Amino acid sequence: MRGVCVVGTAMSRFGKMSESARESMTMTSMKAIEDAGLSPGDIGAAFYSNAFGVAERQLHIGPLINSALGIGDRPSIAIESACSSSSAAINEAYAHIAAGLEDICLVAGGEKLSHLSTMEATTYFAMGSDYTYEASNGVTFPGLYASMAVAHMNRYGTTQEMLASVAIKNHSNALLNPLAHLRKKLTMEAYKESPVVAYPLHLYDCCPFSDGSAAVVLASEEKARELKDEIVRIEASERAGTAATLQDRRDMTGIEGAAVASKRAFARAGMDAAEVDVAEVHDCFTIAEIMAIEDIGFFRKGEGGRASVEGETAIGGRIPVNPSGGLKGKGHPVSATGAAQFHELYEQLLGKAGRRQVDGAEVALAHNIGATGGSCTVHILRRRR
Amino acid sequence: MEEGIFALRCGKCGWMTATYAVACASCGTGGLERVRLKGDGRVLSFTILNVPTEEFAQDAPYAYAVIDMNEGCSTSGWMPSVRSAGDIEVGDSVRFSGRRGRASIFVKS
Repeated sequence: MRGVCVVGTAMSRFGKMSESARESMTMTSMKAIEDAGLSPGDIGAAFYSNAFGVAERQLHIGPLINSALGIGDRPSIAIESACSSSSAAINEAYAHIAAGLEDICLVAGGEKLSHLSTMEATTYFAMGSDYTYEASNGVTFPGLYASMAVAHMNRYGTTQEMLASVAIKNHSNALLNPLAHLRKKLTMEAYKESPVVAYPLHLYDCCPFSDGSAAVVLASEEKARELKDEIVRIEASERAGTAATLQDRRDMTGIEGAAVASKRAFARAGMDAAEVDVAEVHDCFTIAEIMAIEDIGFFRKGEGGRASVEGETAIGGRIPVNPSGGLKGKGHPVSATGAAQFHELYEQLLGKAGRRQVDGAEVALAHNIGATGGSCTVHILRRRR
Repeated sequence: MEEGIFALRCGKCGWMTATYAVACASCGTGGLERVRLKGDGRVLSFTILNVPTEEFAQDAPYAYAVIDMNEGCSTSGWMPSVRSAGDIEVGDSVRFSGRRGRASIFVKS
């Protein structure tokens, strides 16, 4: 297998946008290509994600973006893996380059959901669950994670304050990120006063519905060394699955596929969790971050809540998690999220993350989950000379 | 839809699921048999929905529960009569009481 590197990234401002996902993804792709020091003609193949394209009455977005970039003759494909769509797309691009099929690939993900009502968006999101066996019994997406939270609280004594501490930390990180959706300090009082969406999850336990896009350019290590003095190599790109429906799992207090993908990623990279300097993890709900830091192995099972409330995951803590603000603070334009995690980690590894910079970060981990964990992607990135 | 609650069981190892499957997730054997469940179980986990999907717009608040059925498989159910977190706990005994559309209605027993 050939070495694969990140050579350019970009993301739009997350939040509410006036342009379509197609337009936003095109503009962000162009920025990522420029960030790589390339031009669109250098792209061999493109991998796009726009899981909720139907909400804008648009499918087959790839050729539209390629054409707008002036490369309508290049192959493109749309990858759908719910909230992990663009990390799955990165994994596909990685495989193409590692196998020698392409030298340079573009990955972009984006979403526009703000024209939908909360109930319409909730319904669209529920389509990422097992609609026949879960949504048909009245559960929503927050409801499924709420069920995991109740199981976690019941077994490990995880508290509402521990959940809140994740939201408060990620809001405070998002304040340092000019592209974040929610740029507002969150206090424990405001958290507790916010409405309960799905017990025990309050509004502030949930990531917002966001519009936005993110893009990543990957290149073979050989090409990357021609382009850059300092390279960011993908040391591992691993995916795994979990039984799709929550009720079919042996354990609801973690996501098995995330633990498996993490284990494989550390084995592939020849390192362990203690060597990671900074991580972006899938915090669609506060409980998801607590489970993520346990599944990855940063903390022992059942210790994620305590670690969060004690500040071990803050910037400057033992292992800074979601310095970008995460899905919770930065926002979660579903298909943009995997690529946006790469954008943050690429900036962190190159020392360009501004006020949210994790000092001296050299090894980074991205953890992206599709739906309730049916799809899991873990990437490990390392800065090298 | 047929009244009652059903599961699929592996004739070889006894693994069960209450969702859709054609092969056993435990031993890989194909050809699962459809079995009727008695309807009694215990709450494995739950949530109370205040913000529902469109189909349940008129019903909130209500509980959704993941339920360990006595036969040894898990299912999930809609509990319209449970309206707050104080009315339900992990481990509570519940029973299947009928359907509305595709939803399996459960009540505390």
